[in-house]
Amino acid sequence: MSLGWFLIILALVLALQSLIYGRWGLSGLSYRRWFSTDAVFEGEEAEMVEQIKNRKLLPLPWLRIEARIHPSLRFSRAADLNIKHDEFHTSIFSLMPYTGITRRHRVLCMKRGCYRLRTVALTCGDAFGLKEITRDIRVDAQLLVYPRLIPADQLPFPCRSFLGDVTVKRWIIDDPFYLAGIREYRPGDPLNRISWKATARINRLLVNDCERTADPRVMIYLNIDIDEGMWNAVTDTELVEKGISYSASLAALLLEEGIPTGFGSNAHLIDDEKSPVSIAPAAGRDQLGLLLETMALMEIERSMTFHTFLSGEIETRTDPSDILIITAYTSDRMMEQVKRLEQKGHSVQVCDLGLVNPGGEQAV
Amino acid sequence: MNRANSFFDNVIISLWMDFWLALPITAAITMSGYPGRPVPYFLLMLVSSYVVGIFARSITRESGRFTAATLCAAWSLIVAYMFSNSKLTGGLVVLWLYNFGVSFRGIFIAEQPERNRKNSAVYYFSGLMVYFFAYLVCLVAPGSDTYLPLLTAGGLIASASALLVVNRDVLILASRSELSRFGALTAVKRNNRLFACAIFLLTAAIAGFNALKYWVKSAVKAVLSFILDFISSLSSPPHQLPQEGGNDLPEPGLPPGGSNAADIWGLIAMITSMIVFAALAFLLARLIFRLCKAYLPRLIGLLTDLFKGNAEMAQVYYRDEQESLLDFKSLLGDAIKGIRRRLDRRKPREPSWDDLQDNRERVRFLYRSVLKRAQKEGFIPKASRTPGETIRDLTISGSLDPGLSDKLSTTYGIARYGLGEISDRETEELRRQIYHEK
Repeated sequence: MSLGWFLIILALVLALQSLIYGRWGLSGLSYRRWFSTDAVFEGEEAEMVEQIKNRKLLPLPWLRIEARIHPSLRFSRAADLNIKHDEFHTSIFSLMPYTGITRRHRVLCMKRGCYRLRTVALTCGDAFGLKEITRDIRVDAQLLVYPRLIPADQLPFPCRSFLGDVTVKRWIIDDPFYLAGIREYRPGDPLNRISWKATARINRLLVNDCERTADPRVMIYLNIDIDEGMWNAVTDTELVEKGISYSASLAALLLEEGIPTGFGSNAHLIDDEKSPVSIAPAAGRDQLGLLLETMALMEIERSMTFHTFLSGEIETRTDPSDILIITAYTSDRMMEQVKRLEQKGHSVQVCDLGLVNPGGEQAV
Repeated sequence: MNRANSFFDNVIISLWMDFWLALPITAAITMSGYPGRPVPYFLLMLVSSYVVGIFARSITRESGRFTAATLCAAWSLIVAYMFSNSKLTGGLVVLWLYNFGVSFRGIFIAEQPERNRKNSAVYYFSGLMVYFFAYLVCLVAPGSDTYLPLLTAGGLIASASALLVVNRDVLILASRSELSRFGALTAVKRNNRLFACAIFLLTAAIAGFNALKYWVKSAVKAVLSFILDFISSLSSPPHQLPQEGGNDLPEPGLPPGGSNAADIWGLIAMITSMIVFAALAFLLARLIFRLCKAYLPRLIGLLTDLFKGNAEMAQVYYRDEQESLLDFKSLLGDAIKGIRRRLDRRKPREPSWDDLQDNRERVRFLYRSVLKRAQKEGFIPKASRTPGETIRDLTISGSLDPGLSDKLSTTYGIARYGLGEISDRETEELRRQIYHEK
């Protein structure tokens, strides 16, 4: 065998394979990306799954898939270094003919939000770097990260106190239309509760025992404005995130008690920049899911001032409710609106985040 | 492991590739400048200068290049002087400068933190091109016959190495990973090595087709002739040796005397030496076995880590599940679809109902089938008529039911010119009426 011929033919073979990969490299390829779950809580792990299939006779020496990923989605400890410049995640595959690979990445969700993966860039080439081709494809994967739920004992005092008040109120107001049973008279019971028929039968003073009133309704309002003079951009997002966490935790605890809970904020959702957030009180697991999903979809950007938002709520909220306002500041204008709400029959409490120290206690 | 990886990648690979790529140039210089001297001596001299350059710069990293360059210059002078048989000639100067250049290459290698991967393909494939031309020069140089096998082997080694090194660099760049994390790409590296080997073997098979053909033919011939000889030796009777001078048999007699004692001692010596040899062989084999048992697993592990990468590292990043998509039924289906597509490109055919993408296309298809059906019955459409007028003409000629005429006209108008949507129900109803009409 002549070496000269060998080198000439090697050059021709390399040129031919680069042409083949340039023409057919990305054909017959299908790619999907999805998350193993629709939603997780902040700090939990999810799985991002990639599936690539090569339905052709041509093997792929290498195939690179790059996508822009939010830095709050942290990949497993060693591999988060794949994310260069805080934004791009790279996966590399090598596919034989008619082979599919499903790759699962563990992802740690560091921050609340809605993470959407829209497009990825597929790049492949021949094994010797002579040709490279790229194509963008659409993937549409979404992961919701709910705000972190804080245990009741770690909530700031105003929230704990509000929670206690609402829960207890449920048990101290009697509903005169629903009878739970009959019991012995105790000093202080109203005389119109005495059951005369039972008393005559037993020859002891007995009263009707009523069911507790069953309709407390709670609205949690979150003000994302940092101060009254705030222009547009929220400068202290950490504080607002804390507020969202408190709102979510409180809502979860209230709904667990069966208390209809709603939520509102002057922020906006990711797909609707113009409208504020407003969810009417309701009970049940679906309501909790709806609230958490809404809070995950919330962007910390103002759709309107809190004053405007609250004015609108004052007009629309007719049923008396227990209202908690979580805000970074209080002002005279806000207090006036609080008074108006109270005049309409609502019970209002304010939790000033600016006064809450890191331990969760309200500073005096 | 990172430093070992870096050293291997930067220094060892550079040295290896530079050595093989420079082989024909070195051989050409030796054969033309120093015809009496063997090429391997020249190579050894150059390699020593290269290594000294790397070593000198590595130990003088804190200071500038001057110290390393001075050391290299001194070493180059010494080896050049020794190679040129202590003769102070112009050739000595050339040799010294050549050695110095090679050692400067070593200095450069020691300085760079890692090899330049972006231009890897250009550098190494250009090197192969230079190898090709230098090889041609060597072919015509006097005394080249001795070194042709070396140059051929060197060329094959250089080609194979270039393919593997370029592929390695392409993968590191493609994966956007650093060298330390490259070890995790086990499946990718394995597949690429197979691919590079396949390219090499394919090229060798094509280039050496005649040689291959000759070897295969010779091998087959040898095997067949062996089988035939074996069969013929089984079937033919045993040969008898021809006897000279009649049938006289040798007279029985005593064996020649006088040398019996020497034969016996010789026999004893031979037996003793065989026993000693056997014992030594046994001891040596036992020693080799123990050494292999102790060190071979470690060596295998090291080579595995070096060439295959650390599979455990990959598991930290992700989990892969592989599946085969080889489904003969769908393969056949894909092949048939591909053939059909190619035939369609050469000879366009009418689309069928299933090929149509939306209701607009389907309504237009229905109009066209009504028209074709009417044409078969003798209707002659006029090119100057609009589709609405044509439908009226079809109704007048009796090719289309009057009740269907308005519906077809309206729906076709939307499909062809309008922006409105046509529902699936409307399309299906129209289709039923047209095909069941007659």
